[in-house]
Amino acid sequence: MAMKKFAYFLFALLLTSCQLKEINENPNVPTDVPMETLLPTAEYNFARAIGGRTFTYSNIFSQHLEGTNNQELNTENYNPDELFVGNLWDDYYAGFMLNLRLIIEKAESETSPHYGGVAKVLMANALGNLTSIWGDVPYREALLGSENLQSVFDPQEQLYADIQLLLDEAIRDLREAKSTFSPGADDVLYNGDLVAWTKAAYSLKARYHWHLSKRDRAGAIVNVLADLPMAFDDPNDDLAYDWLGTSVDANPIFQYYEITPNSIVDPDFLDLLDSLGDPRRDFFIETIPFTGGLTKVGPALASPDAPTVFISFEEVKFIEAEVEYYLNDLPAANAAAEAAVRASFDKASGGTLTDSAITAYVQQHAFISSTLSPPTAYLTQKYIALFTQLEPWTDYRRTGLPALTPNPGGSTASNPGGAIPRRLIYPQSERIANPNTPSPVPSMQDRFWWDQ
Amino acid sequence: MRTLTLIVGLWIAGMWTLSAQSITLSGRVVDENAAPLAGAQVLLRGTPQGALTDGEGAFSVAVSPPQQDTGTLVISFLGYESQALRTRGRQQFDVQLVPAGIELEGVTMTAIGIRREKRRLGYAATEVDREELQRSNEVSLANALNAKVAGVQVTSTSGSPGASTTIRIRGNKSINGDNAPLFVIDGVPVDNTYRGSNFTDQANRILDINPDDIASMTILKGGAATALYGVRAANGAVIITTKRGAAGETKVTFTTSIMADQVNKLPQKQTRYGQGELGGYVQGSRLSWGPRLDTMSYNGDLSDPFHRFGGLVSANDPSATGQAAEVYDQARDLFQTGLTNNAYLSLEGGSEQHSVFFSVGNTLQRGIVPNTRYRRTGVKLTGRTQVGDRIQVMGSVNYIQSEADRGQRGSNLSGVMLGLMRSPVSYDLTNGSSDPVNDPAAYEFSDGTQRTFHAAYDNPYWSVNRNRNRTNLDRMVGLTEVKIKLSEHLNLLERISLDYYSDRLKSHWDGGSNEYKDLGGRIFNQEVTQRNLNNDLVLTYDQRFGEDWDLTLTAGNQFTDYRTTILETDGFGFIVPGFYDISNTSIINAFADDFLLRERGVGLYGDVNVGWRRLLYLNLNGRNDWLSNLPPDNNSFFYNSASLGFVFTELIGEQQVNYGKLRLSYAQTGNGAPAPYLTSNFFVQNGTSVQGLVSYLPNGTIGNNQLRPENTTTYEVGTDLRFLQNRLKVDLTGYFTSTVDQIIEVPTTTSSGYSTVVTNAGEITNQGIELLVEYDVLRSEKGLNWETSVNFTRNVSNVVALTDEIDNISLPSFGVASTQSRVIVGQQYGVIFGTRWLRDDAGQVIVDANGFPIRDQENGVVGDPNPDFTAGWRNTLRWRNLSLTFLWDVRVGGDMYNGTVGVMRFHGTHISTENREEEFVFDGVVQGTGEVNTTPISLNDYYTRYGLTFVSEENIETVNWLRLRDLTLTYELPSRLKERMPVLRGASVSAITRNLLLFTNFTGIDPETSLSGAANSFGREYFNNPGTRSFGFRLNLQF
Repeated sequence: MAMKKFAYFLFALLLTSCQLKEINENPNVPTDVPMETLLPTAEYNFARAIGGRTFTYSNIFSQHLEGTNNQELNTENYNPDELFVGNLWDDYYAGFMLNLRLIIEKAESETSPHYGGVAKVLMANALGNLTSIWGDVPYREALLGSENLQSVFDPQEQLYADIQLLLDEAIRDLREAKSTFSPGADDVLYNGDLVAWTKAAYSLKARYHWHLSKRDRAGAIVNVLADLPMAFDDPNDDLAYDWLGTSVDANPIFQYYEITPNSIVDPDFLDLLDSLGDPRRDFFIETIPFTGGLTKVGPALASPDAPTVFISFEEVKFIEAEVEYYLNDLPAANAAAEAAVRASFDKASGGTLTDSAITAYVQQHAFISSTLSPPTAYLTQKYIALFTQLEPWTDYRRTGLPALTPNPGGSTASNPGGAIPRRLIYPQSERIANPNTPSPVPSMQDRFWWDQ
Repeated sequence: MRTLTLIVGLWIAGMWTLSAQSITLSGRVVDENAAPLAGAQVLLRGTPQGALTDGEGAFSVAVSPPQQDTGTLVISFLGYESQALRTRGRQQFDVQLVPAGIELEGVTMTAIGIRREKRRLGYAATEVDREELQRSNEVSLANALNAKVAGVQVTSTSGSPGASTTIRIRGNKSINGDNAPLFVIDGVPVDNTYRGSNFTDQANRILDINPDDIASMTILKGGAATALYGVRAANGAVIITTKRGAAGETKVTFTTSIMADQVNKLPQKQTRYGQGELGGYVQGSRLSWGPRLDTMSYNGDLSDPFHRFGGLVSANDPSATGQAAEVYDQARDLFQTGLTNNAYLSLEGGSEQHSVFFSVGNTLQRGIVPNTRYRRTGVKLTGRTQVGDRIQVMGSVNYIQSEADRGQRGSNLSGVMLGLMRSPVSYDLTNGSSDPVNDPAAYEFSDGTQRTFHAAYDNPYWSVNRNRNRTNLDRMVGLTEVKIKLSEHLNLLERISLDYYSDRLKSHWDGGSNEYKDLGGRIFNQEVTQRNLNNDLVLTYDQRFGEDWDLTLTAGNQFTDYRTTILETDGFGFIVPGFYDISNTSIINAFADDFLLRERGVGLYGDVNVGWRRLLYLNLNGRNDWLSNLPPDNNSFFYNSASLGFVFTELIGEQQVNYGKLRLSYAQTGNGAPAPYLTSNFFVQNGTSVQGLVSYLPNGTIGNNQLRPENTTTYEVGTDLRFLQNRLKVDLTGYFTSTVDQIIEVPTTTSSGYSTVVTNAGEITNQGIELLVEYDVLRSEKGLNWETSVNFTRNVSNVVALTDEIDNISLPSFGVASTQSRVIVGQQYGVIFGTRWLRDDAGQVIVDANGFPIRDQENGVVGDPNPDFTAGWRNTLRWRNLSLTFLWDVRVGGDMYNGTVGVMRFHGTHISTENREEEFVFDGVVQGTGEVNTTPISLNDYYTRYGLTFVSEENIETVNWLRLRDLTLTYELPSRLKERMPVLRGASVSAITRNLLLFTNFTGIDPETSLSGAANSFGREYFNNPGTRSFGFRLNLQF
């Protein structure tokens, strides 16, 4: 009798094995999500990448910052740790670019070009940042998950072409009349304003066309002149993340100083501001208490609700100034530079600086009187106005302006000679796991395609 | 059995004389299954009178009439706990013995609760007796095993109350899975999960088990030994039998102990220089590269919010008050004497039909770090009853309640050791308070902000008050077991068990605490509910065939169903200061989530054990498992094992060797995935909800629906030898294991959009030697007895292969990003990987033109934390009622990352920075020229040049230690005194010490520590809380 019961029991236990598959279905997370939940993550994480490690690496190289501890000190010594370099790489590839790819795909299948357009603008911007930092980087074979774990590193020339292609497609998508879904409040950058996105796309086109001016200035001028009329035309047009200023939605530079600030403002940059008597110093720079006068990035750029800028009106105007300068139209060039500097002053001071003070400064420091001398004033002003952004480092590599003094003792295995780095070393993760990583690993003095 | 009988015979021969008196006491001795025990010894205590039981378990002993009234019969049998019975005028005694700590070649517990004669085994099974476990009076069962068993490595995370402990048997095999052994208590696999450190010393759950409840423990090390336990025992098994009631008189045991704990070792600070930089005082600086303190005074500016005597100024400064600058011994002020108090009461008794055991234990521990504590209370009830002739029912329930309050540690700006060790010696953390722990003036300004030496690090007194981490656990382990004797040879066992617990964590950092200052403080609540259901159905067939053959067949089914639910809420930004509740945060539910993790397994197995002429024993078994966490197409897998025991002394007779056995075994052990849900891809919420929007991103791990089970192959060869009339015992075992097809998350190129991918990959081998030598040096009834034993362990692992693309995987090693634990092809498991010097082809460090060594752009292996060997040497001396026992613990080799000292050097607080005015020449060659470096550099420049954590390579130390793990002196109440006391059955009092002596070359805290707790990363120290040395007393009374 007992045997029979146990036999039944045994049988019942064996039956339960049929449920093994159901038990392994994850009840905690979704297997698919709509575009409106992917976009805010992408925009937020992109903004954090820009205000985070993009800021520290590029601004140490551009001599805006001086690294004093940890990775920043290593970067200051032009001896960055390839492991930590991987964090910056991951901020882009693993942080938000996959979201952008998924949105672009979904926009296609769900006939929602408006989402596709927004995602393409951001993808182009991300690629532009990546190639400005590393040169050749994965794109066409990247972001495919298990389909391709060893992406080819696309040549920089091709990347710049792809960036323009993405932006052209984005502009077309954004202008589509019909879109099943369109971004709205989930678009935390422009709140679904497609016109604003289109302007941003043209502004980025101008930026990435102008990067190539070192290779082919005439061609770049033609391209930029075509972009500019559709680009930002108002200081409030910026593509920027407006932080709420709450503890979890705070400007990344603010958070950086709250946690472990491993850098100070570079004394050379302070000297520059002081020598110009630049009123923005009070807003861009803050003295850290109890440190004997050490400084950090000031409230205009590092208060909890200071925006993180992807691309600004000022930048577009500085590009215009340079282009006009090379077209020998100094009045137009100076006018563009003035517009840029005025916007910078207004944004820095919140409009508290008097008009006359600005005018005096602009005339003295932002104007160029002869195209025989180099456009140092424009690039110096751009160098100040775009403090905390990536572009000044790129401008330095493109033009050598303003002249920078490399950190002493920066001749290292990865930066032979010790000059200002022309690129960053590749991260450890790719070097170890991706045989397509350029080998030998280029040093930070190896110049990439447009920087020859 | 011949050998056994012989030993027993030898032991009692000297006193075996028959008395002339005429009263005969008689009775029957049976085992726990009520089967007769033949050859059990029955002795009238204090006399030579006694007898051995016959084949029916019966005995008779002739005694005198007074002996019949007041005597005590002691009944003993190898492998069983002895029993003492008052005669009290009775004549008939029926006794049931229960299995106990293990004697020479006795019976031992093997897998699935099968008790086998040791001689039948073809694999290593090491017993640890109860006394050995309880000697060092450890709160944690895992710590109690430390240095006691060959092949078992135990590492406690720290000396903090309720901290975790890592146990490894024969090394680490798995990269992502748990490498800890399976703990089985009375046939129930119990949960031993470690859920991360959370910046504190969290427990792994074996801590819940009270060592006082244990009757015996067997460690099954290899695949052949554990095969029947299936996948969960892939890393060995610790088989524990708890105390049971026995037939006979009711026995009450009361034990109480008190131990005082002190910090046993700390990194040494320099005491010459004060806070500041470049030789000058800088208020609020985190560095101690300031002025020489013997040249300094105070300026008397009492408005200085940081220093109660004013800022530091040169003694020659006009504002100097003349008071010499103080040097504070901050560690002495901060650490307190910890106290551990343990009380345990048990009650047992029964008859042949029924027995019961009940215990209640309470452990209360106050830590060396102020405001840390741990309490564990457990109640256990076990009952057994015989229903008719054939059915025995057993049930047991163990309820545990524990609470802990843990201190901040590790890579945490609120860490207690971090603040303490980085603080300049010129800074008074206590602010002159005599009771700084309880006096807010020590750590807080009147406006409520924190008073600390540097704005980014917490004052330890602030941290112990304002950052708390509390856990509260309720756990119930219950089982019912039915044994049915179906026929003379066929037995059926059905056991169902439930291990259920709910663990609540409430952890907060004040808004002014540095770790979460930017977010205005944090509170993290977590409730984990674990429910493990286990059912075993086992059929056993036992038969002898003639004189020569015996056979045991076992067939079984195991069903396991594990369910974990985790509920988390996370809040940031306290609104009302000092009120730490989730409702008082401005951002609630930032991470609020609930998780359900389910795993189910079904196993079917068979086992054949054949013995021939007590000479050869062959064991074969096979098991098939079905597991839910593998893809449906691959979720069924079979594995098997074979082992052979060859008692060669049966063949050649006893000559120099009294007993000798060779053991050979081969085993395959399968294993499933280390976690559920690894077979598919999914989306997860962004770490921070974006402006309140639902925000998702793809999970960073690529799932794999093609996973196969993991597999470990074990080869083992060993021998058990006895010499010198069995007084010298040598057990030697060699083994080789190879683990392939591991299910691991390997880092992938993030350019794929993902960070890791789940895959089957790799091969890790472990090989080693385990040696146990036991020797009864002196044996004397009345005089000095001396037993000594040495255990020796050497394990060498080798990572043979990982994936085709990857030969280097990081183990989860949080805390210090620059210095990680890794698994790298060609290296041992878990090597330390970090920053290092640039070297030329000859291995010389390359130095720049200014004399500074150059840091290599690529990180590399800087250390191997696996010890060359470890050993334990136990000595026990007994003289009459006094016994002294002590255990030396030896570790040779193996590296440790001393991150604490590296950071202290950067800060200028470490003793090595004391002679900082001296310059030195770094041993290396100059870059470019290749000439030997001759350019001197200053210590200040050298230590501060490379950043906070310095260069990993410079912080690696090879660790050797010799420690007096425990030393215990016990006095047992003499039997003549006991007999005068009507109720007292036995009493002893012990003086106990633990870690009394530690000799080590390691310059930091006690090197038995791990930043990652009971996880797979080991050998890293980074502001871990220190270890302890303890002293105390224990009183044991039996009624």
